[in-house]
Amino acid sequence: MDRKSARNDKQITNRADGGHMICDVCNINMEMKEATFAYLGRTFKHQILRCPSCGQAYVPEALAKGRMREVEHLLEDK
Amino acid sequence: MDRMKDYLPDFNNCLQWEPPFCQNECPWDLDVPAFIEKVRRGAFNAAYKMFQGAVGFPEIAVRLCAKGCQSVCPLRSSVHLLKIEKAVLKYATKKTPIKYNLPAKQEKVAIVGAGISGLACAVNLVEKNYNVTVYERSGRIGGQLWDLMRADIFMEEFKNRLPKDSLELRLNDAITSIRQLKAYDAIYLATGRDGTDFGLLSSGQKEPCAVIDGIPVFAGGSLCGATIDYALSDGLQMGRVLDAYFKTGRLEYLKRKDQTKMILDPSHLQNDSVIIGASPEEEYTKEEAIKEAERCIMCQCDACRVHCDLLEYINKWPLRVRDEIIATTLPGKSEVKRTPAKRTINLCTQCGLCEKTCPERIDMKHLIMEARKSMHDQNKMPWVFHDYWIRDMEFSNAQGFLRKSAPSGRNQYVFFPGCQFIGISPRTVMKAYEQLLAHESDTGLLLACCGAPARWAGDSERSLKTKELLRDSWKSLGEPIVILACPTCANQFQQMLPEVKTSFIYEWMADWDIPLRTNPNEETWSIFDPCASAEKPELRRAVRTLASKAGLKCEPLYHQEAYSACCGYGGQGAITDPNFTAHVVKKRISESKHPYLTYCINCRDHFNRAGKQAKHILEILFDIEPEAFTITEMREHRISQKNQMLERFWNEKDRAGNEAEQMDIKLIIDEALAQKLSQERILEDEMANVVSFCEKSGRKIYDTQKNTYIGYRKIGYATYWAEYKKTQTEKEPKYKLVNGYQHRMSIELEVVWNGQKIGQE
Repeated sequence: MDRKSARNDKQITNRADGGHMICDVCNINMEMKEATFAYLGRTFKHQILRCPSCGQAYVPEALAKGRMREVEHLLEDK
Repeated sequence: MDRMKDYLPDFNNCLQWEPPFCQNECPWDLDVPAFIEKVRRGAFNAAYKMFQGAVGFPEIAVRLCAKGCQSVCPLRSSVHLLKIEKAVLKYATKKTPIKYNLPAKQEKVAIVGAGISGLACAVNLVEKNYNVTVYERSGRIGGQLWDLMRADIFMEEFKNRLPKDSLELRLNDAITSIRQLKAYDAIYLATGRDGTDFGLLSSGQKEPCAVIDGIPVFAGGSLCGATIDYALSDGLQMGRVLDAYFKTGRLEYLKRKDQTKMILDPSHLQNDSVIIGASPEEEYTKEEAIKEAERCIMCQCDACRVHCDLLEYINKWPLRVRDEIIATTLPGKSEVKRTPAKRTINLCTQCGLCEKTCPERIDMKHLIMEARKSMHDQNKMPWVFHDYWIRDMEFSNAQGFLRKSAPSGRNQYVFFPGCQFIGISPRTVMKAYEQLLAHESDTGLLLACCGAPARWAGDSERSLKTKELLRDSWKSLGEPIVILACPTCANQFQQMLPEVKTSFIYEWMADWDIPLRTNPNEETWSIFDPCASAEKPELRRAVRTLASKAGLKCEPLYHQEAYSACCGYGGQGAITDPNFTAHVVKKRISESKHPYLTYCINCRDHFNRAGKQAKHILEILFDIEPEAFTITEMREHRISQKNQMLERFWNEKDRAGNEAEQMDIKLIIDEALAQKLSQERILEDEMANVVSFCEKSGRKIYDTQKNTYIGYRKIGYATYWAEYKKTQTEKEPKYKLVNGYQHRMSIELEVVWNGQKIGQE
């Protein structure tokens, strides 16, 4: 339950950040969309900022070093 | 797994479970550490239960105890265990024995003799719900105890432990022949000193047990010559022996204890505290008993845990680590089995202290090395643990590689400084080669990596490739003697290419008659022997000679010479768990207040980065100040140094520089960001690569608040993100890097998004 709510918080933060991020290819605002990640033979989905037109993705540093790093650690120990 | 099997049998000799000296000496085999632990936390009732379980009759036992434990306690003022036990008896409030609801047994046991041994046996069997009959020729129970203590003490104990209807007691019933006891399934003879043995002891049996008239008969206690404390112990154990006989049908007499093989690390005896409550007669208060229990050092063989940084850090015992390693390396997918030692395996510094300090010489280092190979072969090694160093090695053996014959054209020797040396202290390498040429003009040069990263990664294939590269280079130079500067390189040569003759530059320099810089400010140093030097006494001696020639005052370290420890770099565990590396380096630093003098450039760099003053012996001799470079600079040094050496000694210009990949974008990176990237092991070239890709492909995001572009590219396994500013000047655009980071996961979205596939490359 806690983990889920923490994740939702992060998504909200991402969404708030997203308003000023523009895809340079399509020149439109990025939006929260699902994206697929892969690591050590496993794939999983997560909501991140993406261009609604071309699908370009943005992984902010806080996500890369926060939740993402945690999952990376979990998978490395598996 | 196959090679791991070579190292596993050693673990059978591990002394982890050897009893402490006091327990070994105790007639009742009391588990002293567990008992002490209960007293320490004030759990007197729990301690009492445990004591009662071990000795049968606590009040009697404390009066029979000969304090053997105290005579073998390694502390200068031994722990007063008996006084603690008495305190437990005094302060425990719940003394009723635990009654187990066991099913009633059919077997009937006759015990001859109602002395302490016979009754102890009876207690044990009654607890297990056997039918027990005790025969006593006199009119009272207790035997010898009547001469040793007040009758009310032991009678009270018997009453507590042997309730009235729990057994049949036949007083004034002398047994004269075993035949009288035909109706029983087993007989215990505890007739006491000078008691009758019914011919059992003189029957020539190895042990006092035999089947007489179809009934198994055991003898024990004072009848077999035991002192009274052991008579009590025999009786208790005999209960277990009989129970085992009824369950398995095997006649196995009780086993006498062997001398404990435990070896205590002397470091535990350093804080030998003063005894609590000095007068032997006075009874302890609760607090005093707890304090005295706290004085106990809980003897256990833990040499590996004292000296091995890894076992100490993960707080695990070697046998558990062994089991976890086996579980981790067993074939099978992680969905169906656990892999608990994945990180442990990749953290070991490979210093070898475990084997050297273990009394049984158990070799954890090689077991772990084989486990790494097994994991790599099974494709289970997370790439990230070793990827950085593997790429570094491959860079050194490609762009950074140089093989040159001596300027004289003859190659009696070849200097192999090692890739890290060139990266960390390029000027020292230059100066060292200059000195070598001045003394031995027939010295060639080989700039390459020795392959340690591949070995540490368990990557046999890459190890083999490096071996071939080095062997071919050595052969093409005419098989010269290799002069080394790094002890790890020496170990690599020894293992991979034993046919190559090697020596150390320090050994040469110790023999040269060169003016050495003397120590002007009389500073005292501690010589830090790198872990790779543990098997190299000549090397250690040469460095000490050089240090003394340079007039350096040196003091010994806790870990040194053959027992040298790792600075934290060894085994490349820094990515697997950076906290572990930090822990090791911190521990090493704290071992002396003096600055460290070392002869492994990685140790020097590691210490400097952790804030410890440290110098490489060559830096001292050549008067070169150590510098802390970023990882990008260290890589660049391999190219720039190679070019400088080519120019200086062979008059060849910048040939090698063109081989290196030149980035078409030059980034402007400020000092703080460069440091951050270096700490996160991101090369500036990788950032330039990302920016270049973003600019060429147009795949980037614009941040309207910060006016920066952000983009990513997957390089090798990892995904790198660069945030940068672009300013258009007259000639060409300029790129200023604002931030950079990376993650290990890859983004797979191009394939699935909207059915479109927008490939990155």
